[in-house]
Amino acid sequence: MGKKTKQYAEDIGCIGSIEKARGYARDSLVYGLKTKSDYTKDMSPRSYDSFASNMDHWFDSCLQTRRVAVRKKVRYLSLDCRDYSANPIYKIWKTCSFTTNEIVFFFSLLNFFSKYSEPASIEEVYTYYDNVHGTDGFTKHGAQKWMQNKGCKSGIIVKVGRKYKLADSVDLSKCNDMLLFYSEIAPGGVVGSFIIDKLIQGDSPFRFKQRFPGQAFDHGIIINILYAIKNHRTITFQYPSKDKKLSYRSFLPVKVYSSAQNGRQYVVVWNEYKQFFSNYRIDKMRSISVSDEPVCEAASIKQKYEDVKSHVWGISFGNGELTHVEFLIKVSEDEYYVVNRLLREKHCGRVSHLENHPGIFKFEADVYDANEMIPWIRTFISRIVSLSVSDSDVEKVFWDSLEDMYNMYLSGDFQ
Amino acid sequence: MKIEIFDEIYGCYFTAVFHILKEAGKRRLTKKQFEEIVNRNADIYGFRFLGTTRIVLEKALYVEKEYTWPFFKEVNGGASYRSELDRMKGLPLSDLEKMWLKSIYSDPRIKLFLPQGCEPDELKNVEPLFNWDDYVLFDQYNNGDPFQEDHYIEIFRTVLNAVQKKKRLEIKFRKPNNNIRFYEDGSYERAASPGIGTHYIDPDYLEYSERDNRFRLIGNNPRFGRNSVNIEAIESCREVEKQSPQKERYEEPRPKESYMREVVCELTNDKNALERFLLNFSHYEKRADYLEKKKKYLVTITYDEADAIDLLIRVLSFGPYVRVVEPGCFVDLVRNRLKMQLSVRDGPK
Repeated sequence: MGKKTKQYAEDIGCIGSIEKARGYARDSLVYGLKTKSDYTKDMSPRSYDSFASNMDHWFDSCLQTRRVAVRKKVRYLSLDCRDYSANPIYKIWKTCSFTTNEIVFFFSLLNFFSKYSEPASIEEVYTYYDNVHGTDGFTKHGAQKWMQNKGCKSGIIVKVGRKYKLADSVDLSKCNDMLLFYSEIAPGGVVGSFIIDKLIQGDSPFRFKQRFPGQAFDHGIIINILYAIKNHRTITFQYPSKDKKLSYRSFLPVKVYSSAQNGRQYVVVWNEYKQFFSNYRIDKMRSISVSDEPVCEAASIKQKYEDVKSHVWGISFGNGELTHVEFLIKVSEDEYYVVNRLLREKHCGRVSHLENHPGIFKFEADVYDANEMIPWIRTFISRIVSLSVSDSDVEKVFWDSLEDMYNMYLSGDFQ
Repeated sequence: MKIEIFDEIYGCYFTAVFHILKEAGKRRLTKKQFEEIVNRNADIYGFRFLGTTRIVLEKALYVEKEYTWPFFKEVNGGASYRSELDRMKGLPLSDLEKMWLKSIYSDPRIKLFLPQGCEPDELKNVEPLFNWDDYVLFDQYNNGDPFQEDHYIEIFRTVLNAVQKKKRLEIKFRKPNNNIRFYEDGSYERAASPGIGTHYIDPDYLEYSERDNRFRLIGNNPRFGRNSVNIEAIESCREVEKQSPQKERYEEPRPKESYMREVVCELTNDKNALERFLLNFSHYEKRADYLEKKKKYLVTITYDEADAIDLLIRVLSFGPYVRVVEPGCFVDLVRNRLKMQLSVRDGPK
């Protein structure tokens, strides 16, 4: 068990890199359609077996298996998020492989500094560690390298002159409820889950409705984007083009847009070429990095975003041209909940009650991409009196789709 | 640069070992006590499937003669164990964890949990990881709970305390009113609430919906069974003693199976409908099957019967790309909406 070999990591349910696992596990959660033979079209059977075994380890509480044909099984993730106080997908972020030297040195160090609160030299630390581990451990040079590259870099160890000490602890004794809540709803909530692992044992008083568990796969990307936005830095990431080939792209990120209704998350970026805003799906992004230097024009670009954001219905900025959308719906005297829906879901739109037409409400909005509104307008099917879109193609899409639905569900009624 | 969160220091093995060492402390442990500590922490923090983490820790910490991770020593010829690392206090937070926490303290909802301005001194000079304004929940409903209001905070804390202590609550809440008055001049008015109602609830948990930006108390009403109350609708609440069982029809909450339903939808992958549909419902238990002959997908979603209308309008939003095929009663809900639409307006004019 001494080496960080691939076999060793697999035996204990750990992995060296999360990138591929993130993609496969997401596939199992969202689609849950692929059999082993589907996967082995672009990975070796050996790699598949390893992935399947890890899925067992990580997601045992929500992993399902079903037979789809003779000797063909699908392994997929399925869960009712309301059953969980903690997102079970977070486990994937806690599977990083390690060597015996790393774990033994880490805890020797922790114990040493718990015992001696004063800063200590690398010699003092190493002597203590040497007594604990016996032979075959880190060399002094290896220990020093770990202190620098892992201990100090993570902030767990602080350098004081030429000596080292443990970082000061933070008093979170009254923060259990806060941590249990925010670790599930805040951006990068898995970081809160790491803190909970250190501090809290026991039940959470919270559950979460309409929480998309798969967003957890992207926490590593999201926190880098948000950090870059806050500090006016560019991000560079790999993204698939239409032919699915990955290529690197660099942009100044402006906002992260997250849907509370369909689970998709996007980064809104300034597109230098288009001189306007674009968006990229975060779940498709790979290998993100953040520039070291801030972008000088960031403040003016963010101001441009503030100027145009009120015409974005969902996440699309279209080509920068506005489309007017207007529809009327009929509401009865015992249906305030419908008016309430219009008011709470209106985004950038305006809601009014028509004069001399009791019970007829008008919704109107000027948006960059009217196509984004169509699914929402469909949710009012049964009460739509009229629809008018300045882009007649969009309007046609709505009425054609309604016609298709009549044919789909009511065709027998017309015969 | 890159902020890395995939790191062994946050891994389940490091966490499990930390808790084992901390719990073992200076005590001399019998073999049974030792095994109990190792097994429990392995189960909480590690991989339970096939007991992998437990087995790894057993081997690394004490089963093998020469301990791979030499944190414990045998005493009395193997009758008991003692930690070699017996001073373990706390595991300090990393810079990343402190930065994340610093951001959390700037969220207005923090007042629900902590009095204002109680950010720990240790975070005073820490840079926040992110600004909440940069994370836009663009389709979150805009009538979320009044998290900043003192009355709401007081109710929230009372309910949270009752959830944690499993105490029965007497809740006085504003009854909803869906009546509305329309006037010719274009104004309208929502009718006043029909009054205050009273519920008794044995709380199970507080449920937060990101879409609604609301908290609900979910629990069991001893007279009516499963129940939920919007925290925002509560006028007042207090803990009360449980009454004698004969007045209570529902001493125990209904089992989940009794109120979960299934709906089956058929769809093609036109315009990426499959991915959009499956992602949209990925917070429900579901399964997808491919129908080779029809070249279509069949998706079965398991949902709470109380969410039927919500599910209906979400399915409607997919238009003709998704067809509900079962059960008949759900298909009828869709058909009725379409028939009503036909009676209101049947197409472009």
